[in-house]
Amino acid sequence: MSEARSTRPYPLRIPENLMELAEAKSHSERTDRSTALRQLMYAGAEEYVVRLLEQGRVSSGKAAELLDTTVHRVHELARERGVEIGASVEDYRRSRESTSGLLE
Amino acid sequence: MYYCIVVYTIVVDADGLIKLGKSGALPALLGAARLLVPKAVWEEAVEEGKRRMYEDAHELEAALLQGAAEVVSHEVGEKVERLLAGSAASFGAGERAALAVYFAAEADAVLTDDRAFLGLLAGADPPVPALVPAAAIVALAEGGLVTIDEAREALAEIEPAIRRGAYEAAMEDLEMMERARDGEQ
Repeated sequence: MSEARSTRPYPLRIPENLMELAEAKSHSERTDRSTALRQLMYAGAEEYVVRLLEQGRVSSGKAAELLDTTVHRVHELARERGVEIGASVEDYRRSRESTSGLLE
Repeated sequence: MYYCIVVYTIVVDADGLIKLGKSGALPALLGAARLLVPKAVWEEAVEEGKRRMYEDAHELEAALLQGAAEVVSHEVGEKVERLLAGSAASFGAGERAALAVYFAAEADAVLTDDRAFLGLLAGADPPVPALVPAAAIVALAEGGLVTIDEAREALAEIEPAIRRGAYEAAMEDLEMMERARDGEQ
């Protein structure tokens, strides 16, 4: 996971308002417009993946792979957004039943 | 007279391992069960965490090495492929490896707190027993491997990382355990 991810060019029409936002971001952060756009896209991807995680549609390991980060960071992202992840009460109860006596 | 000591085998995924490590209860679990860490999980939770400067990763490594956890690797077999059919895109290398090790080592449970993975384990035929970190902490208190106060502290450490409902249910179980023990005395 630590090696640089490959990239590929992709034709995309970008709405003017988002271009304006990218322009403003690139000025304030002294970076180029493409980098600003990629950062905005990545922020959206983080948001989306954390929601998938919350709904139990991807695992935290898969979320880390999709965002090219670690499971540690995925936990942080969920916490920063106030999103609850992990076992539900039902999962907890099922776990208590199915592993009863395992650690006694 | 012969005594038979049964040591159960638990396979971990990165999610469950990181949370139990954060709780401080991992050494107690290592003392109570044989813990198998799939190579891909070790890579996700320890090596990658260390590369990205997560202090937790260093602490995990120390606890796992000290507790003699076994880092193992098994090929993903047909059983795992069948279980993952249709949902493989939802799981990472660590979860796939945890399943492979669970079946190959004929383990007793998988430690995880991952909702997607828990769903997959519960839906298996027969279901794969899953040990969620909150339940592991309560079970360790039940088995006398940590005190009830230590279990409460461990749960408090991971409170921000687990669902509110599971946290409260675990706290209630500890409360009931304490009342039952007080009643016995």
